Amino acid sequence: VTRLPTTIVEAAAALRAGGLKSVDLTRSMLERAAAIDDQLGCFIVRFDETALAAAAEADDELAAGADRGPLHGIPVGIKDLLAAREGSTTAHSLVPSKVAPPGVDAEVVARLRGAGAVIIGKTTLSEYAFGAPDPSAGLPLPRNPWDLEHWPGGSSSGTASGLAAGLFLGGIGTDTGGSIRIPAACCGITGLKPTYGRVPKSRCIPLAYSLDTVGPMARTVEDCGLMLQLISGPAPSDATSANAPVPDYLAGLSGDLTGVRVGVERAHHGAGVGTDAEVIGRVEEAIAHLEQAGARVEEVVVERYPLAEAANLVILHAEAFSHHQPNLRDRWGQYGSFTRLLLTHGIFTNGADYVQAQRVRSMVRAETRRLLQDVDVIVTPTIGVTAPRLDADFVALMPMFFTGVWNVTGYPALSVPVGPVGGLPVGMQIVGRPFDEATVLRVGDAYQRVTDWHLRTPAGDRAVG
Amino acid sequence: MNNVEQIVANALDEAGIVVASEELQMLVAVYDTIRQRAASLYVGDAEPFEPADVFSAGD
Repeated sequence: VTRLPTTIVEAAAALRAGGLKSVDLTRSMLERAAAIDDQLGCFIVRFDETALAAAAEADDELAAGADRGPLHGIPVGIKDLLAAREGSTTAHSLVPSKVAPPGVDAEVVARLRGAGAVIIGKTTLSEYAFGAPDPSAGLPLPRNPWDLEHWPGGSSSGTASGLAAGLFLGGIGTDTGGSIRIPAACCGITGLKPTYGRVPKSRCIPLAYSLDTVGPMARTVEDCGLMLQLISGPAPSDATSANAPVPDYLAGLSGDLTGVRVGVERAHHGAGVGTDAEVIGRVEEAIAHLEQAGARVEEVVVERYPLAEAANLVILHAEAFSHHQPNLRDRWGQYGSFTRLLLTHGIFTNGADYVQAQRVRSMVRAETRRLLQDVDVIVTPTIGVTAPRLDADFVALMPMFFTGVWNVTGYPALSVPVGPVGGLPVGMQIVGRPFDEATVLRVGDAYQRVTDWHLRTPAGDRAVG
Repeated sequence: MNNVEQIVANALDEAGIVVASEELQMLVAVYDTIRQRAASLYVGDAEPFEPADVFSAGD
């Protein structure tokens, strides 16, 4: 293999044209991972042997005319919060979980595997999808491939860094307050938090039951759409999975945004809340591209935005503490030092607070539903700064993460890269109506058709080798 | 031990969670922020709204 494909679509075409074998693609990516992962901290575990066997099987099937679709033979990385039959699920923690037992697949992993995807390994994350980098835990420390002294974003850290570094072509993340979109923004890749319930969560270790979502991460919007197509739809094993129709996500990807109304929320995302002016500048340039593609752009304000942020944290802390309390009591010392304190914040939330947060949630959903009658999508920066250094004060940075509000509403939200600031990527967030991922993808794809930030690879003295 | 320290220590004790003294101080330091955040949710505008939790007696 002289040049590896950078997207699923490109690889799928090469596999069918006969110029590429899945086994060569998979071996090349595994070799690259073996060479750089000590620096990058992308993988908890790689499945070299089973991945190569699955790739060889995919090649044989394609040669025999048995085509399972666009993911057939494509190397995919799975956040180690979801079960995969090759081994145990660690949640990047020394504290074991009973939710994702060894030897079985999460529903999403089973769907990808059934579609011919090559499961290449399990990727690193913030401990239990909630902590921050903690070198004392003795587990891999996820780093940003654009600058190894910087955070790759979290919690789906390794899925994002591995995509940016070319270690696989598709990935699965989870998102409770921004854990797909934040690392997508930090690493310069594309990530979609689907509507709550769109993708089953079976055998995915929970962080916060009513906020958790599982979604695709990839280089391009089109690749995310391909993956979403395969993993969407209800599962009997997940009572929260929705019975909503699953449309053709690629049908609307034309590049033409004529008739699409884009609402820009600046009131709670601008310089007034501490957002980096250069980050805002990049997002404004991207909005201009949407307008040039035919969209009608207007300003919108989510009046109850601060209340929605508060509701997100109260719900998240309460639900996370509920899940972890027995282990915090019995295995305190096995959690990372930052994670265990953050999880314990839920102890200060009482039952009435939790119910009130869920009432505020209803109120915010009513407001944003009204807003989304006047516009088709709402656009914001994904985060207000570039990827912070690994030793940053992450609690102080939390107001810069503009993602949790959309877990409160449950609406779909996409992050696309919109160009660097100081050599580090910046993300733009595109939010849509519930179960209207198609429009969100359409807008993101139109932007990517006239830019190439999503195809750029890490370069420079401080980037991964 | 001040009032907030006592509240935090009692909450941990009731949950059976044992922390080091410096960790207790870190939790004490965030207590007021967390309580203020929760208190901010009690707004009159929310009065007509039911909780968003889904429950169906038929399930």
